[in-house]
Amino acid sequence: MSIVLYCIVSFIANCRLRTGGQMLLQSLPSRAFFIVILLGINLYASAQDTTRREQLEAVTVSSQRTPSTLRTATPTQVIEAEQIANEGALQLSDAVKHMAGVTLKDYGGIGGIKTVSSRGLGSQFSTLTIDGVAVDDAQNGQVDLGRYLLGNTAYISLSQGQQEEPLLSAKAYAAGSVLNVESREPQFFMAERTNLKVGMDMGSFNMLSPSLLWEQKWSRRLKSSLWVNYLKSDGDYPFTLYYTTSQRDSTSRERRQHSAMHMFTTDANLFYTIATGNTLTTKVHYMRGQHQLPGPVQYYTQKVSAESTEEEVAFAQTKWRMEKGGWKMQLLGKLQHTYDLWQDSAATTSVTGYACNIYRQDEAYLSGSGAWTMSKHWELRTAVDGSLSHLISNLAQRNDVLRRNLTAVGAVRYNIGNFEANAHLLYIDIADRVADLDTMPRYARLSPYASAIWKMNTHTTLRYFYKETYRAPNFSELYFFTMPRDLRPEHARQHNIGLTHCNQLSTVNYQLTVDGYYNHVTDKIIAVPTQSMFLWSMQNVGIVDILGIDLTTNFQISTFSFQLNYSYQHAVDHTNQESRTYGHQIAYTPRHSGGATMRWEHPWVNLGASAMVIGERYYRMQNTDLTRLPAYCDLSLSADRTFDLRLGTVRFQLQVLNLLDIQYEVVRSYPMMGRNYRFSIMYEF
Amino acid sequence: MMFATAMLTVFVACEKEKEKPAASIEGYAMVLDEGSWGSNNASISLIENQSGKIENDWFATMNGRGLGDVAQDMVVYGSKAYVTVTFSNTLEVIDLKSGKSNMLPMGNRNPRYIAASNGSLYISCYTNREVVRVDTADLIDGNFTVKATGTLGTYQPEGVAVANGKVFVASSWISDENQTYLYDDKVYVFDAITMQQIESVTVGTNPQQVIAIDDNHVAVNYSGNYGDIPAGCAVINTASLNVSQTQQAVTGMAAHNGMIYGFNRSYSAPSTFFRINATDLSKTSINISISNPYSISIDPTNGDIYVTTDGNYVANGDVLCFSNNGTQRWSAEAEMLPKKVGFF
Repeated sequence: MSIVLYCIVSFIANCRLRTGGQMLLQSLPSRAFFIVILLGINLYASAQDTTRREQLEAVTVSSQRTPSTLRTATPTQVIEAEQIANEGALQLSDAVKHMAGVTLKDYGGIGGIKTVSSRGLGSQFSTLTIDGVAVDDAQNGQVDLGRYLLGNTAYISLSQGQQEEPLLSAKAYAAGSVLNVESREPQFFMAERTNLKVGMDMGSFNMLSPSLLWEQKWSRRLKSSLWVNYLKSDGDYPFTLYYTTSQRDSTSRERRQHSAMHMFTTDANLFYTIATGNTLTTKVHYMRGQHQLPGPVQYYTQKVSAESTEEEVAFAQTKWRMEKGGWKMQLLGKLQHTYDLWQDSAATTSVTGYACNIYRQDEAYLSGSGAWTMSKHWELRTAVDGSLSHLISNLAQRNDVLRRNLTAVGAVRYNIGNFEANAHLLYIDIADRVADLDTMPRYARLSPYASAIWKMNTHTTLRYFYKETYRAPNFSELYFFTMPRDLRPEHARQHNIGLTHCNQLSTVNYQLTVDGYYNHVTDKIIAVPTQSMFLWSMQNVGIVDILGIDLTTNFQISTFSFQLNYSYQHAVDHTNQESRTYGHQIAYTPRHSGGATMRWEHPWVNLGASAMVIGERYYRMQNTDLTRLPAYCDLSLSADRTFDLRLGTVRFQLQVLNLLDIQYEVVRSYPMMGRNYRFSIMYEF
Repeated sequence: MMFATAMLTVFVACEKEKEKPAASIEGYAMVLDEGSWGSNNASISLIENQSGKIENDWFATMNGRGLGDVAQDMVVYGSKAYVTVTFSNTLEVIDLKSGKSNMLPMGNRNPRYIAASNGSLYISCYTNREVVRVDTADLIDGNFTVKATGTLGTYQPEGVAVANGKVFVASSWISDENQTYLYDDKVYVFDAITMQQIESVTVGTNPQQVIAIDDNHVAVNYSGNYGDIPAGCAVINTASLNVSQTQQAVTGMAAHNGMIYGFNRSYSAPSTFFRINATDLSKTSINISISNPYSISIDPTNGDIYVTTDGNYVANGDVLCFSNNGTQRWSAEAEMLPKKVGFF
């Protein structure tokens, strides 16, 4: 089986190499990089001394190259389309939660908000990019991963600190960590001109998600894809409510109420090859959704929430890339409109019993980057981004805010022998204009980055990076519901040292990475009451120190593959020695967490299992018996099989999620789903 | 009971070493911990008057269930303590001998403050902006039966007090549809039996707590608009309904021996503590120095002053006990936002 697989993979690789070979030789950016890849192909592919990951890296040389996970200075994790499908991941959050070092905050169910933070830094240090273009939220600075679906995804990558690509936007350089979702670029074999994928996912509590992907090759140069998805769920799942913190006393069986959601997403992509090494890609994305908000479960009350949200996101982005000689260039632009409505039709504290907040955000974004390979050893890189965000709300005050963001970076890369170093200096300049405020808050900061890797031998790499990141206060922190105040950006310093290793022992291919890090966050923005408990304001008072270890392993024995992650995070508050929270683990951050994924491929049926174990956490800054959330294990099983039909293939998949039916909470008072099921059919031709 | 207590002790012991729950609560006081919205962590701590030895999470230990979401007020009356839990929509009736509590669901009322007099409880409720009167005798069978209802105007009710056969209710604030706060400046006065509105008197912007000093005087503090309109405190004559201003901003207060014991929480200067004579409005300061006080309660038997702190809203607050002249006797760590101390 593995041999067959390998043959297929190398066949594809060869095909692509043949078709794209010319392009490759002419235009690959840095020759050094090309050599590394060639080396990779020679060392790993030809000697079969490799894991699947490297094979796939070799495969995707010509088109969608996934980021390397082993030979990088910054810890990078990648989940590819195949693995996304194997795990049956529907929402972006489903896939991300298996990555090491991330903490996913999940309010439960399909519709519950899901935000991610990385290595104890606040979630706003994590930037989500789609095809390398940052998704910005000037209002809250965090993105709900539940609203991004994976049906048309080539891979997801999470880079701690810094991505390692020659052409990045300046916003990607400015992030503390980058979660990138790369859309699938259509691939056509031989004379094929059309690919169609029709799928239907069904799940417990009336979860239903039909989807359609249409890929078309219009000419040798022009390809397109159209992806349409509808997702709905009632989310009225049962749960056990515990009436004491110890969970050993009174309980009752309840049901989530007012938690239905539905969402329509469509994505249209154009891929145009102007000339060899000269491409233009355009994406138009539209999402419209409605979510009922069940709110926290509050003991005893019979009151059912009447809060809901309506949201609409429309954006168009286009990216032009050119590679010529030692030069590479990228220009990208994006226009986005976002509409968010929150309403409560049973607001007891409102005159009319109805409360409503409406936010409209428009954004225009331009980014240019370039890379120049000066010599065998040196490469220079630069990127400049400018964006305008305009937020209008129905609030009585500060309801018209404009933010201008200018980010610029200069980077240098040096490699000699087995040694490679990267450094950059980033300048960020943000200015706001608020209709009813005289002062114009402005932040300008310089921040450095440096990294080094040493390829000790063909199997082992030693790496180090240091990065400073500034996170500008968002509109909520600055203007909404609080006293306007002079805030500085939050500041994070990250140190990471790690070792990567891959090898083969008899029939076992394995790779492992181990990274130790120390993050130091200062000027953390914290809400504190001023003048009265009704009037809070944000202040730069927090200090957090995070000491952590991320461990990832990956084994492949014949048709059996196995991945194991472990994360340790000692993330403690060091704000004020007098405070009861001093030295305590920051809220919602487990000290220990880990996950395991395994898959066994068999001609009859492919079987998969994944387990996530999250250790004890605390829902408040002060860690006591009464603020502890117990550890939990979430185990899921899946079985899938693909049948070849005369025309195309059909794939069936059955999943049992939370098999052990463990009742747990990620966020206090938001119970998660117990055992539930999903079934999907995908027809492809 | 003994068995249940023993069982609970075993469970608790597994979690962490903890003191055995007090067999009798004589010589103790109850600290009502407000908790934070959406966290179901309202609680009652039991505290020994003499030593300050505190037992947190006492309510859940005694009852095998938590108090609920956001405890707002507590009154000790007769052999019971009554607690309103705003977002759980419940009234808890705690037997002072056994520590067992009888939970009464209150529909969707969102109960706030509570006062007791002449066999009746008066509870202000956000929903429908009303004050309800219930007979304590009716609560025994576990039903919340409303005897009479008094309705306020546009604004939410907060503090409630009973004196001289009248019920005094603060009409404080409300928000409009896009969440701008609007403030009232009145105290509504109702007949204590029929709950018919007698009058509304103007006291100052955004009234909060209302406490009965004696049968002739009721004190009201008001928060202003947190901007240009300042906070203050007024005294209402319960017979004439005349209002006199104390000329003092009062964040939290309690009544004892014809006096208002209060403090003014300041975020820029040290917080100040004082007592104001309700009859002649003369003020004397109390020498207590606490930067972040959250509430004040007075032990009626000896005039001891109990001050709680807010833990900066992220950590547990403290209960500090001072003798009536301001000498600190002890302090203890309670739970999230200790709101009031109940004596019996």
